[in-house]
This record gives sequence, C-alpha cells and structure tokens, in this order.
Amino acid sequence: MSEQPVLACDAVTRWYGQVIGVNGVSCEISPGVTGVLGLNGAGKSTLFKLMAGQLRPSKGRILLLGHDLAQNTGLYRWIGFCPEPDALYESMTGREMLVYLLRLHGFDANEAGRRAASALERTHLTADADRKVAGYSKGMRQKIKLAQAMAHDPRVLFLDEPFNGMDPVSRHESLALIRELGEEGKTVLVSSHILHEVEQMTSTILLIQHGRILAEGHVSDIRDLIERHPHQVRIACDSPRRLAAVLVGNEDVQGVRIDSDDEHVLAETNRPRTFFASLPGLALDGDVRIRGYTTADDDLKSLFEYLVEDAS
Amino acid sequence: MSAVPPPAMVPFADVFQLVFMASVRELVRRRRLVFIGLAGLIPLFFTWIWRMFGMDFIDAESMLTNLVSSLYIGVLVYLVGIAFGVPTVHDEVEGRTLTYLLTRPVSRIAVYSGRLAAVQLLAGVLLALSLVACFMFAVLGNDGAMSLTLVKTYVNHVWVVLLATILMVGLFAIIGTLFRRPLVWSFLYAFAWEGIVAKVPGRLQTWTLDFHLRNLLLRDEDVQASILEGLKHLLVREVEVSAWVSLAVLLLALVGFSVLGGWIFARREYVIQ
Repeated sequence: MSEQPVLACDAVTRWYGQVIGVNGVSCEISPGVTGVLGLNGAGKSTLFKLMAGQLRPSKGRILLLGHDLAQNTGLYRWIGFCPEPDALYESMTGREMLVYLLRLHGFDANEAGRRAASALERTHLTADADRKVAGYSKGMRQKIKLAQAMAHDPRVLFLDEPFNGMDPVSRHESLALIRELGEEGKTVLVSSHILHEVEQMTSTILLIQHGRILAEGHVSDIRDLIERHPHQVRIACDSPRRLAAVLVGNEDVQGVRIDSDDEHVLAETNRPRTFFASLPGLALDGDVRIRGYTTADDDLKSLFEYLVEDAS
Repeated sequence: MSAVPPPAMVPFADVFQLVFMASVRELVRRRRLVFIGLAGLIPLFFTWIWRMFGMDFIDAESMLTNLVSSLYIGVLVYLVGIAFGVPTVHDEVEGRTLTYLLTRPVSRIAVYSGRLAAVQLLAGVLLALSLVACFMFAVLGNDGAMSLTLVKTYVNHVWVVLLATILMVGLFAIIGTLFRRPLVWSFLYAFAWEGIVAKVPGRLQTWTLDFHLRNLLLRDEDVQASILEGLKHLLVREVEVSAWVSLAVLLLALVGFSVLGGWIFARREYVIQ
C-alpha cells in the first residue's frame, strides 16, 4: 500500500483571463520542508494560493490528505498560510491579532491566549506582543505573519516569501524555526527566489518558471547544475582594478571584467563554493576592501535560462 | 488508501460573534468614524437654525418631519450607508487582510453576517443618537413642551430612519462586495436612481426604496410635511400604496440584501495581490 502524499497536484492549470499563472503542474508533497524556488513572477504565489484553496484551478485538481479543499472548509484546521503581501490588522496588537485568528480556529479564549503566547515566543515577538501591529518593523511584520500561520499547530504550512524584508538576525531565527517545523513532521512549503536561503532549510526543492515546474528533487542536483553552469558574481569594492588583477590569476575564475559604473567587478566562476571561500583571502592579498556582492537573482535567472535551453 | 475524515468547521454562531465583536472594535478605533459622526451633527445644526429663526413659523413636529424627510431619508441614510456599507468586505479586500479570514475553518456567510451586523449596528446607533439629540434640542426649543403627537411622530421617525439605515448598509455592502470601484456605483444608485426615480410621477417611483421609506413616515394631514413633498403634492398625483405593503417590501429587501450579500461573498473568488 503506497503512502498517501500530504498534498497532491494533478495537472493544475490556472488562467487569469488571457494570462496563464500556473500551467499543468503535477507534484506530490511529503512531510518536511520543501522549497519552492522561482524568479519573481514565476508563479510561486499563484501555486501557493491554489494549494491553499484561495484560488480555484481552471483545470486539474488539488488534494490535501485526499480531500478537495474547496469542498471541505474544515480542512483549514490543518493549514497554516503566510501570505506574501505586507497586510495585517493594523489597529490590533500582535497578541490581539493572533488570539482573534486562533479563536476563528475554534479555540476558546484561554487556549487561544496560551497558543498565541507560545507562537509569539517561537517567533521572538514576546517583548512586542502588546504593541500595535501598525508600529512593527518590516521584519516583525513578517514574523507575526509567520506566527499566525503556525499558532494553531497545522499539519501543512504555506509560507510565501517569508523572509522578504527581514534583517539578518530575524532571517536566521526564522530559518531555524522553519527547519524545526519540518523536523516536527509538518509539511512546510516555503517559496523564495534566493537559492542559498532555501538551501539552509531543506534539501528538497521544486523549481518553477513561467508557471511550470522545471525541476524537482534534491538541492545538490541543482547545485551540480549550477556548478556546471557559469556563475556571475558582482562585487562592490573600493578598488575594482586591483581586485580584478588578483582575480585574473585565480583558478576558480573563468572571466573578469570591470562594470561600467567603475565601482563593481563582474567575475565569472564555475566553482562558486570554492570561489566564495577564497574571496576574503584574495581581497586581503590585493589590499581591497569589499563592500558586498550579489549573486542570487542573477544566479538563479541564469540557471533557469540554462534549464530551459537544456529542456528544449 | 482512504483519506482521514476532514475536520468540521467552527460553528456559525461562534464565528458570527467573533467577527462581529472584532469588527465593532475595529470600527470604533477608526478615525473615519469621527468624520462620519460629524455628518450626524448636520441635522443638529438645522435644529439650531430653527430654534434661532424658525420657531415662530414652523412648530416642532413639522420641523422634525421636514428634517427626517429631507435630510435623513433624502441624504444622510445614503451617505452613512455608503460610508459603513461599502467597506464591509471591501476594506478587507483593499487592506489584503481577507486572506486571514478565508484561510480559517469558517463559513464565509458567518464572516459576512458578523461584519454586516457590526456595521449596521454602528451606523444605526450613529443616526439614532443624532435624532435623539435633534429631538431633545427641539423639545428644549419648544419650552420643554412635549405633546403626544410630537412623541408619536418622533418614535415613528426613529424606527423609519433605523430601518432605512440598516437597509442601505446592507445594499451598499453588496455593491462593495461586487465591484472594484464601489463608490461610483453606490453614488450612482443613491443619487441617480433613488434620488431621481423616486420623484418621477407614476408607478415607476414604487421601484425605489425611497418611496417606500417615505410611505412609512407618519404624516398628520394637519402637520406640514417636507417642503419638497408638499410641492410634489401640488404638482403630481400621488401613487397610493398601503404602509403595510411598503413595510413588507422593505423587510423583504432587508432580508434579500443580507442573503444576497452573503451568497456572493461565499462564492466569489478574491485574487489578493
């Protein structure tokens, strides 16, 4: 007897008038954390809304533990949804908002209060729980969204871009929390457009582009693809020419050029992991001060382009 | 493999009560309420004018009847109806908080009913308080004299205004649930359909709520009714409809608006971006 998947999508398609949001998606999701990775506008949010019953598929069907969500509103007891939009009940405090939403799950006032306190603690919001949500920072707003999604102890969590706007500390705390939820046996779907962020939570990923699933499986397979594919890093530093000179001689670097703004170096590498490990030493050798670097979006974009080319 | 049985929804009454209480709290905290409250002061201003200049020409009953017919039924119930009714669902959609409600194991009709009842209550209280203030002010202006006719007229006006308010809130809540630009449609309905058609001679006017609301207003033939109504009486032949028929039409509309609004909300797909 095969084990039933927690969530199953069968050839799900969704049109918005003439525009296709999700195109023939079929997948089965099991307990643990699954990262849904795609560029902005790839269809991640549409897929999440379909899976969470917020949108109806134009074709195909979605089953949650064998049930159609559209026919069983009671299934929302098993679902936690963290939407992408930065929208909250601004006139409530964080605690009031959680208690209100928990009570809509059928918990009495005492139990709702207890669960709200626990969710606030897990998201490190206890100290600000009695402040109006309107006064929360972007990171705190993301955390309270996460808290409302998990407070009722759901079996399946949909977290749509939960790290947007979070500071590094909050991001680290939230990554750890999501890992914990996965280890507790919950089915957690997290969408992101940043590969290394997803990598820190899970090794199971689902790549989505133009509303289609491009690849799914272990993150190392994706990494292999990335490492076979040239990888561009844009480095901001105080002396681009000195840094470029040092990089030219490095065996991990395939090409170097100075950006048109004369403030960045564009380096191409096939071995990003070793490149990033050696970058601080190279900067030290060249007496260059690195202000920062960007890779994630371009990296993912080029990977998608590569996969699309490969498939065709 | 058979699926685990799905869990049940949270009982309707619990959801209704929770959403009702949360909506009342939310509305009371809003600055918008203060501005809408100011609209309730407009009749008080007219009562003050009457006290200053009009007491010798118009008695308290006539003044109150004119005020209710021209200002409350003619303008305020629409404005308050739009201000409270349109945001019933529209605020949650515009504020993108609707997702939180729609991802709970609750009946959408219970959510709609809870929010609608909250806005109807607050809108009704606001206009009722305004009427109470006008009445008190008018009685004081009447040297404290309170005739039975005045009390009867006042009680009749209060309940007609309350019925009109909850009716309009229900109607504009539907418009807020249906349309992306509900204010345009609401004002068109209020001041084009109700405002104009209700004054057209013939049976067409019976298709407006305004006609039936005015038909419920107590009018002693000896008491001067609305000045506009008086002019209309002179110009056109009045369509005769019994007050009971009007009451039945309005109650039917009230129930119909609530059911229709809940039905639309329960079936509509909201694409929250």
